[in-house]
Amino acid sequence: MLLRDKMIFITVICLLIALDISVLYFVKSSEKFILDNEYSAAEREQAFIYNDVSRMLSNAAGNGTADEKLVESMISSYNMFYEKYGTNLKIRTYGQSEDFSGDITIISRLNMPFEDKELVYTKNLDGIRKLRRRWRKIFVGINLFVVSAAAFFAGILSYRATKPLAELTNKIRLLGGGCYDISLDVKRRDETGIIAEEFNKMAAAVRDNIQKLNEELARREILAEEMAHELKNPLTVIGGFGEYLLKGSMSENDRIKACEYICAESKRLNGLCVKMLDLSLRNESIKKENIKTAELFEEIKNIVRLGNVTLESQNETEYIFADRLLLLSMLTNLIDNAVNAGADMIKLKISADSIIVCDNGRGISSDNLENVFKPFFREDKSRSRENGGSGLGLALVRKIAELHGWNIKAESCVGTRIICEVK
Amino acid sequence: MSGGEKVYNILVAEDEKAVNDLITMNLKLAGYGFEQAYNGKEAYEKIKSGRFHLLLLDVMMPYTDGFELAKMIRPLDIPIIFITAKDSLASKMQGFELGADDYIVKPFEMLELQARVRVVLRNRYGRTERIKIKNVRIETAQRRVFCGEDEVMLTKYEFDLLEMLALNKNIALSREKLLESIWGYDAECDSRTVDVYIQKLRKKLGFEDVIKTVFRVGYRLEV
Repeated sequence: MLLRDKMIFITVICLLIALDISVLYFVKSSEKFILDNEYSAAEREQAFIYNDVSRMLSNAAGNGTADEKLVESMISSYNMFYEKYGTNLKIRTYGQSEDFSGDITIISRLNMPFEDKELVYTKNLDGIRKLRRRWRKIFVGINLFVVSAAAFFAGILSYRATKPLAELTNKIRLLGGGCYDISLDVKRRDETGIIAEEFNKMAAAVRDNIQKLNEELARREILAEEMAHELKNPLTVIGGFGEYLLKGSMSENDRIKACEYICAESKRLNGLCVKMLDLSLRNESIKKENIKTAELFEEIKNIVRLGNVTLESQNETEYIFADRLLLLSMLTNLIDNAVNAGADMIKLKISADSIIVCDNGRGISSDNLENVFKPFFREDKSRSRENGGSGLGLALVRKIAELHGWNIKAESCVGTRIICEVK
Repeated sequence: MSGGEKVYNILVAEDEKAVNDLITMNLKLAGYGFEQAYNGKEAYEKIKSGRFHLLLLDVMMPYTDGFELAKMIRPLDIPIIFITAKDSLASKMQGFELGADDYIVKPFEMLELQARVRVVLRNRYGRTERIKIKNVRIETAQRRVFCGEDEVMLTKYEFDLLEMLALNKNIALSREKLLESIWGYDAECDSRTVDVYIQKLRKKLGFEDVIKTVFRVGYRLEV
């Protein structure tokens, strides 16, 4: 049952109960009042008739003409007179039992010489019966009228009250159907207004989240596409040289070259896989601890192949709170990146609120400062490939920074400066 | 370049050194002349100054991409084969609209590369009419084979087999591949047939050392 129908139903029922109780109370009390009046009127009338009959009988007894005939004629003349008022008179012998068809019956004994006779006074209250019938008709009419009027007004009221709900239902259906760009007009200040306001907030939140999801999805699709593209070259090289070795007849030099390419490209693929796996790390998998920066520097020097590049490290804080392996991966990637950029001097500085890696390599053009952190972005495609870059190093660095809640940016100076704000 | 046998010069423009080497080393097997370029700019300079019969252009290259380069050198009217990692119809159509003669999608097979290069060259410069291997001369148009001055009589299948091996010289062809392209799919013969015909060819032409058996692969005509 819809709320609207419930509202109409309950309103009508309540109204009817209230109305009927009051009407019935009024009718009953009026009836009682009228009946009381009728009773007292009947008593007065009976008393008057009785007195009259008694007086006449005692007069007649004084004259000695008092006999039953006289009584009969007196009663019949009374009856003739009172008939139109619903009154009936009768004389009966005392002790005789008889049914009387009257609403009011008063019996009194006559005086001497008729002490064995009784005067039976009956009165019919037809007027009241008629009145009751009329009232019943009016009562039914009022009820019908009230029911229809109440249903009508309650219908209008409930329609107005539930209209915003109907609108809300429509919007929710739209939202469910995938249309996220919707809002409700908030004009009312009542509960429906509050619901509308909250609904708008929810719809906005849903819209924002869906948009974020879609953006993330698009980003992943692009990543997957670039990934597939990135895989094609090593696969072409490995497959191609494999076939070349299998089917071709070549010089020893070319044979070695082909083998070298196969090894190099396999290594590149492996590096790509490792980095892709790291890129798919999730927040839950990081374990932060206090790391001694001096120890960190030692480890980095052991991992990174520097050749004739100088690495200058400076620590302004004794400890840094981070995931040890991820931080190591981040720093070695940054240093590898600087080496690939042709730097011969790299400065690494860790302070309480930042990690800075500075090099004097080729640098980045100002247009690409944002792009360097994108997967597979290369400032100079062919050169970084020669150096074995996967195109994922800085993307991974940013991912690790994000996992730690750090903010990272690149600046161009003589070479490149990567600043990671640790907060 | 003696008497109908030409040495074609091909430019390979591909930014990935490994892929570039893969292509040129394959072209080298087939006896083509080649030059390498590693980006669009370099390729453009080389095309302008050199003389090339065919261009193999990578679509994604630094500075000037393959499609752009194709537009720039259109007036020179050199046949172009695009090499790309993108196997999409849109990208193929774009290539053909720019006047590409063919399209190779990475990763490609050796025989596919050879065949496409050969077809584009044949369409543009005509059929190779004469192939010389040592003292043997194959007149492809007339379907005649000479050993020195003496004509060697070959059956239809023997000739087809010789031509196929000679066109793909220095590349091993599997027995299945030879069967499929010479006898056809539904031929009622097996790989033993190929062995028999190879024996006949070797004997007739004195090619015992030229047509080599490559263990577990097939046969290769080596020059």
